[in-house]
Amino acid sequence: MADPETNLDFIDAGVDLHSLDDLTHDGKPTVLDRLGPAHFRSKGFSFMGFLQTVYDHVAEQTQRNGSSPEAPAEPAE
Amino acid sequence: MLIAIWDTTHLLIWASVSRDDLQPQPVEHVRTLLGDLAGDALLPATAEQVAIDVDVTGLGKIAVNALRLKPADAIDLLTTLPDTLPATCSDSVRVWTILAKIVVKSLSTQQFYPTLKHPTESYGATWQPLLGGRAEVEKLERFAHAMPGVCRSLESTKDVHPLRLVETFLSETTDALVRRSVANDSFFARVHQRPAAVDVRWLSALLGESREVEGEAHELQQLYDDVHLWLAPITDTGEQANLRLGFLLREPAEGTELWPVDFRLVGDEDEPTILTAPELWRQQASPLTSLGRTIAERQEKFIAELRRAMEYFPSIERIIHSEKPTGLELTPVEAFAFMRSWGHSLEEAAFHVDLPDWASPEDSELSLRLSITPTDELYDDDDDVFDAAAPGEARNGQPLTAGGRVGLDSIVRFDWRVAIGQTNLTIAEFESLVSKQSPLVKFKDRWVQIDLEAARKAQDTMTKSASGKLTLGEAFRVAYGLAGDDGVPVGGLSGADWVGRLLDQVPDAKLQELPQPETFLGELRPYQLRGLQWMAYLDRLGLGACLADDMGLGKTIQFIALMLMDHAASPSPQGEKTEVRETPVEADSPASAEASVSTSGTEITPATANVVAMAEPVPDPLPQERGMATLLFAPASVIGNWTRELERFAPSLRVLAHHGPERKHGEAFVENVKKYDVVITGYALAHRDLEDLKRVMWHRVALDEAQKVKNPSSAASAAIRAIPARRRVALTGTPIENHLSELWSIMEVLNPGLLGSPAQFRQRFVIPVEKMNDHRRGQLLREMIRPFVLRRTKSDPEVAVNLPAKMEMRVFTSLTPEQAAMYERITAEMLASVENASGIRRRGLILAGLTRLKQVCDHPALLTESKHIDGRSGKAERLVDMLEEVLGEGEAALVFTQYREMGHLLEELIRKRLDHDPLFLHGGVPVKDRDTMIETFQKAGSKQRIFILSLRAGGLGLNLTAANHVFHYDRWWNPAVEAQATDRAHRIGQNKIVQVHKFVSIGTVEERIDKLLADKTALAENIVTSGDQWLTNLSTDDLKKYLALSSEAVEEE
Repeated sequence: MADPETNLDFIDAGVDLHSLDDLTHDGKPTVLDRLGPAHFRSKGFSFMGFLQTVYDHVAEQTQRNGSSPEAPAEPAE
Repeated sequence: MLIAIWDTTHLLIWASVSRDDLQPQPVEHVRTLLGDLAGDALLPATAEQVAIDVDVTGLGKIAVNALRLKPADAIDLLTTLPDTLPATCSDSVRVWTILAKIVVKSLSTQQFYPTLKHPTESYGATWQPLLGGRAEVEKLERFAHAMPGVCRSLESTKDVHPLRLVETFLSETTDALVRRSVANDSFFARVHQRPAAVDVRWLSALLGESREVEGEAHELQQLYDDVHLWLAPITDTGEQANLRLGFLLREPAEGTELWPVDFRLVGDEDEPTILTAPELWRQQASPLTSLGRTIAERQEKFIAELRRAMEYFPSIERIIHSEKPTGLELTPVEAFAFMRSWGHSLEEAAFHVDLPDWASPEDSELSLRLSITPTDELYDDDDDVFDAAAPGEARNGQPLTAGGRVGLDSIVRFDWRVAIGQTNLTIAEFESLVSKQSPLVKFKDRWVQIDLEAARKAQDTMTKSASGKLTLGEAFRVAYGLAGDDGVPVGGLSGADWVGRLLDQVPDAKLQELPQPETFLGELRPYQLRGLQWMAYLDRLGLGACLADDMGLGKTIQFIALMLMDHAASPSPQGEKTEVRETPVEADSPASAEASVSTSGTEITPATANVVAMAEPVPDPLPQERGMATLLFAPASVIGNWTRELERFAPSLRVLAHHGPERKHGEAFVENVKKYDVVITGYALAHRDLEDLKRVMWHRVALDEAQKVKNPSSAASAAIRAIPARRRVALTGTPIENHLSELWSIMEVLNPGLLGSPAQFRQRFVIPVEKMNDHRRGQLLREMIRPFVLRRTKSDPEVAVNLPAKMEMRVFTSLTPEQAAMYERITAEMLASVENASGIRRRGLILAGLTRLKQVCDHPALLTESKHIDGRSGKAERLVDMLEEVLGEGEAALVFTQYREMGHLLEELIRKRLDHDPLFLHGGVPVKDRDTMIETFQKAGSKQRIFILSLRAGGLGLNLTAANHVFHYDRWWNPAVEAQATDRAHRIGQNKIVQVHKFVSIGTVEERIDKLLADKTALAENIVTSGDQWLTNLSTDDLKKYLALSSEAVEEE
């Protein structure tokens, strides 16, 4: 059996372990808006258009499902 | 109790007996506790049981059975736990729950970004959450340190920095969630098709199962550089944000010839943060400085930037494969190249370059300067009367300069001087330096740069002709490299005597004392008087002058004063002074204005002051030698403005507006010109009437808005160059040194041949300055033209102290023939209809007609089906010209109009002609949009610098101090309303001089009423208080006087 005092340091967090809600850029322009067009552009492929679709899709799924618990599970290793 | 541990790739959850007893429980107990929290569905099927060793303080290493969750599954689980965790969850669970929420929020608000890890073995594509700046990272670091010890109790994580552990959790879970989001969606699957470009392969690696981007090393390296460059705006945060790769060139140590270049990272602040390369590499042992930007990443970026710099600084190739490069050493030849070109290219490519203080070419470069001295004085010291009538001519008509030459044909003595920077060298010193055959040598304890090839050519030049004689024009061309591109490092001109004064723009002492002409009805401000003296000095030297003062500083009146000076100094034909007699004119009579203003091609005399009696026409036996009139070219839209300004400030000058179908030709033209002091005509007539204009030897040819002759090959330019004149002056408000084709064209009129042939000028200046951004060559050109161009801006100290905070001026514009025809038709219809009407109906007809007249003065498109905007309105054309100058100066303007439709037309016109997107505020703009417009306009560095406002919507309450020009495109006839509008710009917060331009259409009701208001009569008071209503009380005959169009209103060429 361990010393209770030592166990408390081991199992309990310090005072700075609190919500980090203000850590993100909530309300700020999206990343793609801030970045602007990429320097590289493939012929016949709209890089930014495609990437924007990825962002919209991910954001929409996340907003709808939280982290998307209904999404298919990751493949087994 | 549930305990959660992140092993940098998976979340491990196990259960202890209690908070105080950390003995592990079977994994079924974990399932039970989680099931109690939110149901069994929370536990994904892929959660597997694993055995791990946990190092528990006090207990030592113990074996634990845990559930292992993949990153996305871990987020699913953690985000479904209740907001307030029960006592069965330890703080370790709380840690990952808080972080899981951040991940979800980043994804739902699109605050995550794709990146490409630098290869150790392969290039890895991953997604990262975007967090805030340094403050946020510090907060996260405190959070990481507050994690309970159990979070780092695995053998594999006990030495991992807490912040690093947090970072891997955020990164791995973000990456997994994005990939899972797009998995099994056929739309996104198309990026996996092959073959594909490398950036598409990167996308594929971001969205597929494997993170690895496949490809050739060089294309992956390029991709890596591109990705990091693209991401720089969001990834460069914290105190080392915006650090740029920098190169510090140092002098060689004693006893060595090699020049060290130190690599470092440099911030953009005034006192920049500097991180040297050795410091950067030493930081490797430290943990993290900011999330997502480990020192390792900074080092990777450093290497990537070095690779990028190699394109501009080829010597880097020698060290690019070093493990930890900190700098390199350059040979003298390389160091010279670094100072002369590589360093500049690096700066252009956003690298930071530090050279030794002495290394600027201006201070250390070898050059040949031509020193010239006049061969003769222009006039004797005993001469105390300035002979303005004929520069370079004595009283008896004999030239004063040697050889009878004046201006650019004056003969000057020259000798070459060798200089290092501004220091002159003796020939022996020069020879000694060149003999060392090194581009960087020490001279009198300081380093100097010697272009060996140029030095050899300089030696040749000196050997061939160390001194001799040239014309002044040749001296300019030789000294500034326009006499043939032979590679001689010429560096300009210096001179003595009157040439020295010319180069310094300092007029001769006699001219510096010259007062303004007595016949000038006004008072020149000190800087305007200096402008007059300067023009007179160049006149005296027989050189053409370009007065390029900023708009609003009074170029017009300075030139009018110059003409009056000529007039006062010169005898009239037959040697008699022109007799002036005064004729009283009723100032408040609109008819008087009409009577006093001539039709095209006839005399123009003052409207409200004196009428100058014409001298009797006197046959001039040598009209091409003794013509005394100034020929002034101006855009058609400003001819009227000139006549008004001449009437106001120089009523003693006799003015002929030579335009319109009635203008004279042939001998009649020559005879007619003799009666006038000033002949104003449009640019279009230069070519059309060239044969007539060439018949007169003009006292002076002047160009207003000289930038109009910007195309040197145009018919107008060629024609103007062919017109004989003793003096030439150009007026322009644009900084012509920034528009090189205009500059050549204008200079060729003023001082033919000065700037060489178009091909020479292009080779020497246009290509280096415009195509290669050669600042030094631009500086050399500015130095060359400086004697001939006088430009003052409102911010120049000599100007600013003499200007009021607000300057109001009228801009008189003419009507186009279409406008004039419409104006006359509307007037006729209106007068006919009101003739038989009475009471309210009559008033209504008058007010409606008046509105249409004002609108036609604004733009015919307001009243016609055709909405074509170009060339139909004198006002609009003038406004565009003036706004072009405003934009050229980097300034901003408000344009007020009463009519919304006019605002739309101006919006379209400005977009089309100036390629500028103006703002337009009118009554229909929602409040929110209006606030956005104001914010946009007021923002420092705003690209939208023209703000059109309807007087009703924008006249009150707005703060638009970003503007320092206010245009009243049409008139409200109530000075208080206009003043309120003007005060949008002229108010607290304004730190520039505000210029107010009030547009008035000449010869129309606008001008009549403007004149009444200016006179401040009782009638003016009535106008102010009743607006347009007072006109409705006039009899039809009186109404006609105010509305009728006078013939001078029309611009015709």
